[in-house]
Amino acid sequence: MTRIRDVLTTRGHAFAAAGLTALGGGLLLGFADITRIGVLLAALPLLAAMIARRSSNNVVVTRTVHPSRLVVDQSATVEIVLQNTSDGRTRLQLAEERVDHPLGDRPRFVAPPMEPGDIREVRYQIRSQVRGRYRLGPLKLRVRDPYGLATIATSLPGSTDVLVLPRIEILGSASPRGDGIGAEGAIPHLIAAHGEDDVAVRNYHDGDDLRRIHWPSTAHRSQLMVRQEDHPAKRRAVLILDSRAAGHQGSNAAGSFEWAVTAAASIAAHLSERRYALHLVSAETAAEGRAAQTVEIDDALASLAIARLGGAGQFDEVLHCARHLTAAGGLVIAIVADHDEAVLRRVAALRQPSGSGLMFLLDSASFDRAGAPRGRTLALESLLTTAGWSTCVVGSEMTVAQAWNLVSARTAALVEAGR
Amino acid sequence: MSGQADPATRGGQASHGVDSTLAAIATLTAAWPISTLLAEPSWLPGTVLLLAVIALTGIGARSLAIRGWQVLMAQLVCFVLAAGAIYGRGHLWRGLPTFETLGFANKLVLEAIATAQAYAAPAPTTPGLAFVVGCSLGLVALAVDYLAVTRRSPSLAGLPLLTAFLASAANSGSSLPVSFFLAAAATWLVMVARAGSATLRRWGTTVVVDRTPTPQSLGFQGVREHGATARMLGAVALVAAVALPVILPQSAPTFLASGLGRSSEKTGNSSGEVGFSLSLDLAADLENRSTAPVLQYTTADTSPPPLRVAVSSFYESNLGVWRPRPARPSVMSPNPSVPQTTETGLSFDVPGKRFEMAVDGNRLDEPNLAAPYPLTAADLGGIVWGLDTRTQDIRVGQRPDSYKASYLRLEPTATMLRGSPSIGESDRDFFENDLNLDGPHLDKVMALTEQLTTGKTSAYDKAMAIQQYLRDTGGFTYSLTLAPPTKDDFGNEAGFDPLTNFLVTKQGYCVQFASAMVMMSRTAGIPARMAIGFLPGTQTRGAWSVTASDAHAWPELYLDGLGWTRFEPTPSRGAPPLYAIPATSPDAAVDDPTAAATTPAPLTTQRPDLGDSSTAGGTPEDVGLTAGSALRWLTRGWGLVLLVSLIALLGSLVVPAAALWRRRRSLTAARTAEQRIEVQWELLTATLGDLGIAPAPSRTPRQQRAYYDQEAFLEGAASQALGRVVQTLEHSRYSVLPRATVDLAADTRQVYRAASATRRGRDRIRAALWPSIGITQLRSTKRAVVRRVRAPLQDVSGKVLRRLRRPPQ
Repeated sequence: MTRIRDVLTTRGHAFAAAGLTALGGGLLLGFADITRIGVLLAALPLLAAMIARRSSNNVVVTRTVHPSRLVVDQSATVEIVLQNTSDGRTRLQLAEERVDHPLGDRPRFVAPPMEPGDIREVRYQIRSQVRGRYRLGPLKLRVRDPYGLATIATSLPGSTDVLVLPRIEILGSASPRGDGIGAEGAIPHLIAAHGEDDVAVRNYHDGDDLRRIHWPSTAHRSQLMVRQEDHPAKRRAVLILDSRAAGHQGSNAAGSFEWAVTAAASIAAHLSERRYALHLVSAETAAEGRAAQTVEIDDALASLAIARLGGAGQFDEVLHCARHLTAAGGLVIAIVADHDEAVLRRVAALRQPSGSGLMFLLDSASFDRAGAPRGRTLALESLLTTAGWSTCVVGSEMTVAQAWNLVSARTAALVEAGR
Repeated sequence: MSGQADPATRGGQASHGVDSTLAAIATLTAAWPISTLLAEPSWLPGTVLLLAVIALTGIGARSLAIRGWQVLMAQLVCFVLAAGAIYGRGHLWRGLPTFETLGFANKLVLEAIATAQAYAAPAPTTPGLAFVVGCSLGLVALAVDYLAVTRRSPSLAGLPLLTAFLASAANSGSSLPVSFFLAAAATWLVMVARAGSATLRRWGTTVVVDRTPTPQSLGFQGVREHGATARMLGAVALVAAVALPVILPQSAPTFLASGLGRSSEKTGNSSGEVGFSLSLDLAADLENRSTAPVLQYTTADTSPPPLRVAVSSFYESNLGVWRPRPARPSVMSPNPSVPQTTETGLSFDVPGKRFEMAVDGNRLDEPNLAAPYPLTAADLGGIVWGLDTRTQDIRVGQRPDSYKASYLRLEPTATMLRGSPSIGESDRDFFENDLNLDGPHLDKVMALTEQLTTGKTSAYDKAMAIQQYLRDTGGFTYSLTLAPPTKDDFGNEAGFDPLTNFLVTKQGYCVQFASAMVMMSRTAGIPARMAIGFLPGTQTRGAWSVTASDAHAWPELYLDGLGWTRFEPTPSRGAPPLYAIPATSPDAAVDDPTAAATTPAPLTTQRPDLGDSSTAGGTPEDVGLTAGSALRWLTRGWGLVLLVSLIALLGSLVVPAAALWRRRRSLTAARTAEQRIEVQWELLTATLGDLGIAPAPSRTPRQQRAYYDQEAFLEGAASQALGRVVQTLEHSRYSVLPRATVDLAADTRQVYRAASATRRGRDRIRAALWPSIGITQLRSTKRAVVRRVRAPLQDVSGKVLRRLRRPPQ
């Protein structure tokens, strides 16, 4: 049980100290009035502390967030359900929900007394302007006496995560050349080496591979049946996100990294709509070893939601993963900052001669202080263009859609030129 | 837009209004004790007006949504204007205060200071005093309003309130009636609690909705509950504050600051000295239980005279107080000459014995000194002192710890006494102050004197007759509490002055007796004055010890040839000097003066006679630590302690008794054997829950058995007993086969005992004294009682309402 001293607030301590002083002084000096005041001041915090200590707290809290995934600037409703599982009545409590700062102010409410088994419900809204994974809870409850002399704070365990996804821009109809089948410089399809895609069973025809006979069906039908496997072909795209802290500039939502993340999310959504098999190669996926797998758009967005700036070492890892993926050809999209020419040369080397590469070269200086692209950025651009990338220098004022259209046009030009 | 005020803001303003009003009321209640210091309540209207102005300005200024200090400034300006309008009428320029007003205010303050120094409480409410009181309270109200309402911290506002309250408490000397404290403290608590509720209201940014038992918005239920807790807490704390000081040992009041009727030089300070107020305050300090000695002395005199501290010739008949004049010694020196006989009117030929008194451990604060009268010589060990040539009033520059004084014990012969004629016409001017009969209230005194002194020729005989009347034949009662003002036949107050009231009600203490004798003697033409000091005290092992409760007042009458002569009109308090004992008096003091002199003992209460005018201080080691006082405190508190423990004992048995009752009733209420088993199982889980093993209702009986085995560390027989219980329960719940009735009482008891043996002692005691079944029972009883009480009330109110709503035929 908590000691009384720990329960008292500053005011409670002040009251107790003043009360005891007055009590002693009143007794010594012989003033019954001062003694009375002393007893009153000393008794109040003592009683308050005793009442506060008596409180039991067997409240179970459950949270539901609807919708559980948000996009930046979308608001969601959080519902807290409190249930008194103790066999006593809970006391009036001041509740404060701990939520991460970007979700807004901490919701506070007065939790009224609850009889055993009572269920109460509280709703509040959250909304974030910054993507990320945020935590709701734990719920902090505070029993406080009416005079503000004693308080006991408890924290109800349990918290819920809410994911705020990066904003997605609609990129329009423009798509990188080589999209179509048979065109020159076509993007090679991803061939599923194995898997259970579209398994069907059909009658045996001559010439079918004996290894493909489906024995259970054969037994069932009393005639030879074979497995027919359609290998779905998908165009591949590798999306590379540069997260070097040294390269990116600008702060928070206006920074070049946020632009890169938004662009990555928009492009991922755009490509996913066009049924590309997408590899997201970022510091997060590389660290988790998921870079080699194709990702669904939801997973891609989820890992983009928690993308953070990292060191140069992490980007080395990203390039390492990307090298394996791009070796098979396919569309390579890189969103990189104009930092460190050596690294950019390595990025440039990722494109296979047959494949097409789209490069968003972030003019990071402009995100810090608007202005024309510096000479160095332009030099890097020409380096990349020479390496066969259709490159777009992105300034802070450019939208993702603009950049995408620009790059797509360049691809077309490149293809035209190549032809 | 502008017409629609936000409801929240409007609510805030309304509550601000309530808070402001509360702040003003709090200031007023804290200042209520001032009514004990001032004779007439004429200070009240102005003060109330000022407080109202401050509160209203505050409400208005805050509604303008300006900053806190701007509100304070606005209030200050309005306060000054209002104070000018109330107190400075005739000294304003178009209603505005000017330099002339300032000068007038200064005059009022000086007047107030003069009044405060001249009068003992209750002082007459002069315009000056009313001004000072009103303005000080106005400032206090400003501070309270600013802290409590503008800055929203009423707990801090306690400080200015405390100042206002203690200013009166410190000045009235004795402790104030409890009602003053209760009113001020309760108002303040209401303020603090309201601030707490406001915090609660402001806390929520979202609202809790009830899902069970009924979906409804909970609105301000929380705030109501808060209020109930606040009331309960506050009430308990207030009761404790009133009750505890009664049983705590308390030393006598020591004054730290000067106040009304007590000039700064006469107050004691914290070093344990004793302030002796020269004012003869009529309020008795009934709570002075101090046994700390004021001084101790040794003397060869078997019946030492009282020790005089001051004399006064000036009586305020309408207030019943003596206005002392500080001694004005002609010379202050380490060794002044003590004026001998002639100045004091004592003839050399009066026989008397010379005694020496060695005082030790003197705690009486300068400039006063307690000394016997008539003094012949004194040695203060080099401290500067002097004495008034006419009164022998002593004034010291510094408190001497010990000193020696020589005095005469006069033994005049009967001839000398009887032979002293009334003073001649020529001497009347000399004794003008001591014969002064001012005031219109002396009819009763004159009539009585006339009646008592008819036929008596000598001054001595007249004095003896008056003394005899007051001591014996008049039927007076000695009491520390004065009788309430006399009512006339119609129930209205007769409007007597204090002295007449005393003579009519015949109830009072030494001040009243002495005052009566002085005034009656003056009426009879004998110069008389009032002496204040201490009784000789009590003698233990040769040393006399004087405490604050020995404070006393007695008259001194001027008899020609004998000078100022002490008489003793107060019955059962002090012994008259030998010459003032009538020859045929049945008083034992005739035969054994020593015994008489040392018997203030019949007073037993050990309480001060002079109330406020005598104060004994306490150094820390004095406080209630002497064996006697500690013992007295113990014996005094014994009955109370016994009563409280008895109540506590009975109170602690309520819940177990309720639990027992519920147990019995639920067992008898169970009709079938199955129900009985269920009830017993329920009781077992509840009692185990009391021991701290939470019930787990969602488990099967077998799982429960395993759970309890593990949680309660059951082994051997106890575990088997639990097994039997669980088996029976299982059988009764799920089996269709009939089974012999089994009583589980013994088994459940065994399980409970085993489980309780594994628990801590504290938990066991709690389980025994605070069983949850008992609580449930008490709650349901409470609900039933409330239902039963409420139903008829609602019936009645419903009928009344229907009757009211029915349109008149």
